[in-house]
Amino acid sequence: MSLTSNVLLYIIVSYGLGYLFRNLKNPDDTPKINWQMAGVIIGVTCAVANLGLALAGSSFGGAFNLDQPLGPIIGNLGTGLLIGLPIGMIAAYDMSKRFTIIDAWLLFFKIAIIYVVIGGSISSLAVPRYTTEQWFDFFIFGLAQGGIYALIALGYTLVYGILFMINFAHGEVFMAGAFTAFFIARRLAEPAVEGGSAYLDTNPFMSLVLIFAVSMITSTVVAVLLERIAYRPLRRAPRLVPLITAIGASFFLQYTFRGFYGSGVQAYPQVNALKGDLQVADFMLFIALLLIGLITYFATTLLLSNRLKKALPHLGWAPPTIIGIIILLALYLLSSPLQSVLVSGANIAFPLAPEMATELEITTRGEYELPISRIQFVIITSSILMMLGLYTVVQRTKIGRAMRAVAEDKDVAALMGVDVDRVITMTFVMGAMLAGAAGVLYALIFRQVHFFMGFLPGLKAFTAAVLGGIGNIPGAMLGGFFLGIVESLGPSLFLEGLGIPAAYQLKDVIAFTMLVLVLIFRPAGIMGVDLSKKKA
Amino acid sequence: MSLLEIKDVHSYYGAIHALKGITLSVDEGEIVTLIGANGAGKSTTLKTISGIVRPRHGAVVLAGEDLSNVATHDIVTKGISQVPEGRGVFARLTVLENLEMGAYIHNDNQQLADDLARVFDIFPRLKERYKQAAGTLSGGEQQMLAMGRALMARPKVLLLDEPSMGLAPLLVKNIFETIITINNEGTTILLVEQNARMALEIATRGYVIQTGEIVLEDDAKALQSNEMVQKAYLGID
Ligand SMILES: Nc1ncnc2c1ncn2[C@@H]1O[C@H](COP(=O)(O)OP(=O)(O)OP(=O)(O)O)[C@@H](O)[C@H]1O
Ligand SMILES: [Mg+2]
Repeated sequence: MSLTSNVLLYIIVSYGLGYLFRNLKNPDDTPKINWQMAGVIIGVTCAVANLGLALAGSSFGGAFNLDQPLGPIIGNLGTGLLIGLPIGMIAAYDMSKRFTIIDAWLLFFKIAIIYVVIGGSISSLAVPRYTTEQWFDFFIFGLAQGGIYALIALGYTLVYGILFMINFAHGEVFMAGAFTAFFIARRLAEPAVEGGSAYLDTNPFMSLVLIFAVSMITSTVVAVLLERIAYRPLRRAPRLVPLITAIGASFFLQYTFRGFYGSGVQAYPQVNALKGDLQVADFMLFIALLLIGLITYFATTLLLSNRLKKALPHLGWAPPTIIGIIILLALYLLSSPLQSVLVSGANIAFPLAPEMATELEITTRGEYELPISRIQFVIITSSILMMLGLYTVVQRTKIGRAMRAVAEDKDVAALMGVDVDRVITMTFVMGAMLAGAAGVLYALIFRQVHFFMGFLPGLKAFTAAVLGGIGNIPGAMLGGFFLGIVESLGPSLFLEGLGIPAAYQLKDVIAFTMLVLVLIFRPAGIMGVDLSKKKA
Repeated sequence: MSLLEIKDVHSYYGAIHALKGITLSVDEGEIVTLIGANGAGKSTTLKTISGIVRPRHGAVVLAGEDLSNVATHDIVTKGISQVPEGRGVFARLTVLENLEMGAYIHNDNQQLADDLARVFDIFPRLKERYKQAAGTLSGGEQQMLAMGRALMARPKVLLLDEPSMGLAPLLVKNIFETIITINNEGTTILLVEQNARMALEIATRGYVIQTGEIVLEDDAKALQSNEMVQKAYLGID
């Protein structure tokens, strides 16, 4: 209530002052104060007013006098400024030009965002509902979820970048992989007493490789068929036609897979190796493997690949891929001896004090637990690595260059000798591989799969792609992480502060509100270039 | 036998009959020019040769091989490169990437380096800007880039669609001199132009196209003194 009345007061003050500043004109009819300056003045005025009301004990300002950790003066000025400044800026900008009915309507949205995001955050943080560790947990969960969104979002953006169509069936490509791989995972998880191999427990790494491979291959097959059967014949049709087809294909795939695998929700088996929190030893091993892997990869490809390319020019990208696979295998074999070396080395170098050992219930430093779960760590790092991989392919390789060329002009690309159909297929393949991988990550963290599981993540990832500017690859990555984090932090940060009960259930509302807002205010995305303008 | 032959080609855009039986040929080592007014069908002729537009009737033959059933992207491999109308550089790719796209059909790194050196030799300006996004180049530089890119494919026949369009007179002269250089280095050229004066100046032979039909064909010198050509395309009464 108090927040509401304060915001109302700010709006009245801001637009009043903004109007005054607009009419302050130099003799040559230019405004005396530009709108940025006016906005700052208005913001400061709001902050001072907030403090004044609070000091005067008025319930109007005083009710907003939160338990300020910084003392009432700084606290009131600060909170006043945090809300007053953006409103002041908007008001001053609106007033600097012609204020239309549409502006008035948009103003409503803008104030609502400020009210919810800034007002809600202040109220939330002023009454510490959560500890720093809990906020950090929300954040990490957001990153993990965002990594998954980003991987799916790349599929939307890649296809849009080349065909200017939104592949609404992409969520189903994601589902197809995850759902199919579930059966492999379940088989691998069968314990020995039930006649299974329990391979998932005895050899989790290879099991996961297999699960990922099955998922990615399934997704790829589905996406390639989808493109071939549903989209390719419509390539020259008006844009609305493939869009509608995509929605139809989405339903078709959902119910086909429901037919294959049933309509029940299946619980994904637990991967015991990924249970619990990440330990220092795991983290050290990861960093060591990453460094060794990257260095040996670049060293060998630099040394060998050029020579190979010259000797066997038609192998194309095969040699670096083979080298990469060999290195990965070597690292896999190397990982457990390397880990013992690392752990014992660390123990010798930094012996653990006995008091600490008893307090933390650990015997070596390597067992120290980091504030992030194993599964989240796996999701975040693997999604980032895959995204870097994709980015490298698009920016650095011949096929990536051809993709970018086809995205700009298909006819001219064909004049260069590019098989446009093949490049489009490759685009679908890349998007599908990322979606298939995302599907497994999603199943690992949420521990369930069903035929409808692609719908919501697909829509969220589409939102992420739009947030980053659809067609823009780094944009999709950032949009995904951004959405994941906002969705995870948002309910506790914005909504609970405003006293909304069961705020966590509203996380989807936050995501789709963001979609609507971006479409209203920045249809080209937060960091996007306006494609329609650029094409002109 | 000519290097490139177009035999009674009819091309359509939907119901629009754009080429109504075009026949022309280009011999090895020649510069042949195709001149005509707006909408006469010059670009369509080049698109038909490159396979972007497929003729409904007639054939395009390169060194005796009928290209009717060759995919568009394979026609480059056969030795035909085109600099399309309006240049068609990839605006968001860098100059170097554009040139690498030109060499898409080749896989030999050494050859790529040699060809790059050759293109940079012909167009030193491109070397200065090789890291820049092609969209930020000036119109003249984009024309150079489009030509350099086409050369990277090592074509037997180079199709140029109005390379002088929108360029300052000095640059036009420059571009035409470059065309002669490229031709002297062994590339056969089919040049589409509205600037008939300049085109006939450098060409060996010429064709005049009107509403989808060839109405005149002769040596360039003879066309220059042809009354109809003088009136319609050279602005001489
Ligand atoms: N994509 C298209 N769809 C429909 N009609 C087209 C298309 N492209 C060209 N045409 C028509 O075909 C005819 C020949 O066009 P073309 O582009 O070959 O002319 P041009 O001689 O190159 O003209 P200009 O000198 O203006 O470039 C014109 O009547 C044109 O309107
Ligand atoms: Mg034309």
